[in-house]
Amino acid sequence: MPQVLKAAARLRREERGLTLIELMVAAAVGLVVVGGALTMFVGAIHSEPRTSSKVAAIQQARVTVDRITRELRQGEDISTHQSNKLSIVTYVKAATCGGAAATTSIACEVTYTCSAGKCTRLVAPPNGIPPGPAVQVASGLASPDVFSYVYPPESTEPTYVGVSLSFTSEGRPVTLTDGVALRNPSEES
Amino acid sequence: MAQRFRILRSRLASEGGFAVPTVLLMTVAALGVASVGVMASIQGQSGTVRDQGSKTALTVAESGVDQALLYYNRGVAPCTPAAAGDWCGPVTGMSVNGGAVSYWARLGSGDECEVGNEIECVEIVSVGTVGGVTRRVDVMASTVSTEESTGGGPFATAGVLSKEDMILDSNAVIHTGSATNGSIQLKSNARQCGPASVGIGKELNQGPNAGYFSDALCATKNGSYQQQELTLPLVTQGDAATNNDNGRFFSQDLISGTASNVCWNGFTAAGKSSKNCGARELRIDSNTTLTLTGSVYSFCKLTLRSNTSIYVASPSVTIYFDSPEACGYTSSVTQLDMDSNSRITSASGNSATVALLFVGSDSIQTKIQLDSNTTVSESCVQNFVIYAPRSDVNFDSNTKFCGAVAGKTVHLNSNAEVRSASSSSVFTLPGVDLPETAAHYTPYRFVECSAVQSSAPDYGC
Repeated sequence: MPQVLKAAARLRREERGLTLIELMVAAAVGLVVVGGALTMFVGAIHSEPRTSSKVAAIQQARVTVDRITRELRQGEDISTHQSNKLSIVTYVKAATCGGAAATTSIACEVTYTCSAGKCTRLVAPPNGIPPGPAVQVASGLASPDVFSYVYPPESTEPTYVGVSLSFTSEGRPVTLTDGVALRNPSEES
Repeated sequence: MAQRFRILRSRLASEGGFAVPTVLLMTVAALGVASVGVMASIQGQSGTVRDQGSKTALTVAESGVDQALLYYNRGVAPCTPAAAGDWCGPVTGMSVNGGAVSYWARLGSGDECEVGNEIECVEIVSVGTVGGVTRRVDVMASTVSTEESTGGGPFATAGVLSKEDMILDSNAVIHTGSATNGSIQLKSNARQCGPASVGIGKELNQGPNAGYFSDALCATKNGSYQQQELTLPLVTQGDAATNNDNGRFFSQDLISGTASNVCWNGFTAAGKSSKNCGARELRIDSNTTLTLTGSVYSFCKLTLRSNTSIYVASPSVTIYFDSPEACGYTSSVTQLDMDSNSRITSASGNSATVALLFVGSDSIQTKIQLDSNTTVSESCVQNFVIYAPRSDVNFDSNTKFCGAVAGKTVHLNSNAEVRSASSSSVFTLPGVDLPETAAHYTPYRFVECSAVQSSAPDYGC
């Protein structure tokens, strides 16, 4: 036992440094570790713009879907209900249909038309004439079939509209889906 | 000097100085790598969270509108405005989904309602807040009259009603809506062609080859039915038992056929005493017709046999069947008994209104029996009603009934068929004054408002 204590005391007192070989091995190992971490870091830094771009595209699509569903929610009469085109009389915050924005809502006919990878929005008075300018609200769409409908039994008037925006971001497909039940009863009902 | 050199040598030999920076560097590098992915993920998910928040807030705001409408539809205002037509509120609504909801409301009329023909309207602006996300909605609702809201009569929504179970057997068909407080049983090829509703907790059961269809033509299969309570007010006959047109027999209400085949009040139409009929009992036998020209009759029993008929010549007729107690019956009695090609019809070309109303009894069973090719038809264009909320109604053997029927129980058997007369939906029960109900508000305009809220509750809507 005293011998063991002595050896321990000697080891504690010993201040011998590292050999050159030990230092070189340690440096090599350290370089490998740091190099690996650095490679991952650089890779992540490079992919960040792509990720941000994808997120931005999704956010833009969210805004579009939100706008469409909001107008559908307060819509009351769908005159055109196709997979790539929808016309609905709804409430728009504008002084005149297709005119400047206002704080109060008026009833206008809003038409969404999707083709050639984009969707446009056209605002017109409920009688349909004269329309305002068509404004592009979505681009880069993989499919023009944006709208789907649910009809109550024995009715040709949809009461629920599904909205699905599909596009490709950085080579990968992205689809945003939402849907809304119309709150305002149709004039015919 | 040697001491200092030893200390320096000792520090240089120590590995602690290398370990700490190395670990720190690796930690920072790892955090940097991870943070890029985490930031992108957070950015992406924040949109999802915002969408969920806005939808939940919208739902909460709409719940405020519903709560306000519930108040108004109960005839109670949720708040009191300073002056008529002013906004009142904010009223703090019941919390939904952990959110907070408050609403303002104001009553309007005429042009304020923005759409024509409304008696009154109410505008409700409701604000819902969930997790810091706020949504405002503006809903306008207009009244419909009490008559419209109550449907105007017992047959407003269904042509066949029963307080208890409704049974369709052996090829029986109903070509109109049915409603019961009990169950509906469709047995052996029976068909219910029209929307059905059963009592709370009850069912519509379908037997072999039976069918339930959503339309009167039995074309479209239906898979759903309602469960709701059905109320059938009792018949109030007033003074009809004593003040009626029974005295027109047979001086003004004439017979076509054999007078001895008609028995009324213990005497035949020929004036001879008969045991075939008792007090206020009318019995017509064999190839004879009676024409009714009065408007109110009071019977205890009506029996039609073998190719007999009653023609209603007056513009409208109401035939009351008095209670079995008042008629002196002590046991089960069939108060309307028709068989073998007997008929009740309006005179040709006359838009008569025909109603057979049965007072019935809770203690003595009363029955209505239509058998063997009997036809009670009004070409499905005029009011024709059998209303017997305390009697059991049976249609049997190829009976074709066209009109509306209400009974304690309704049983169709052997090819019996019921069709709805379009005008029976507006039939109202004489002597029954429905209590005044609160005006019923139905939403007609839903608008989402901007988040900015000003002094006027509907600003930005």
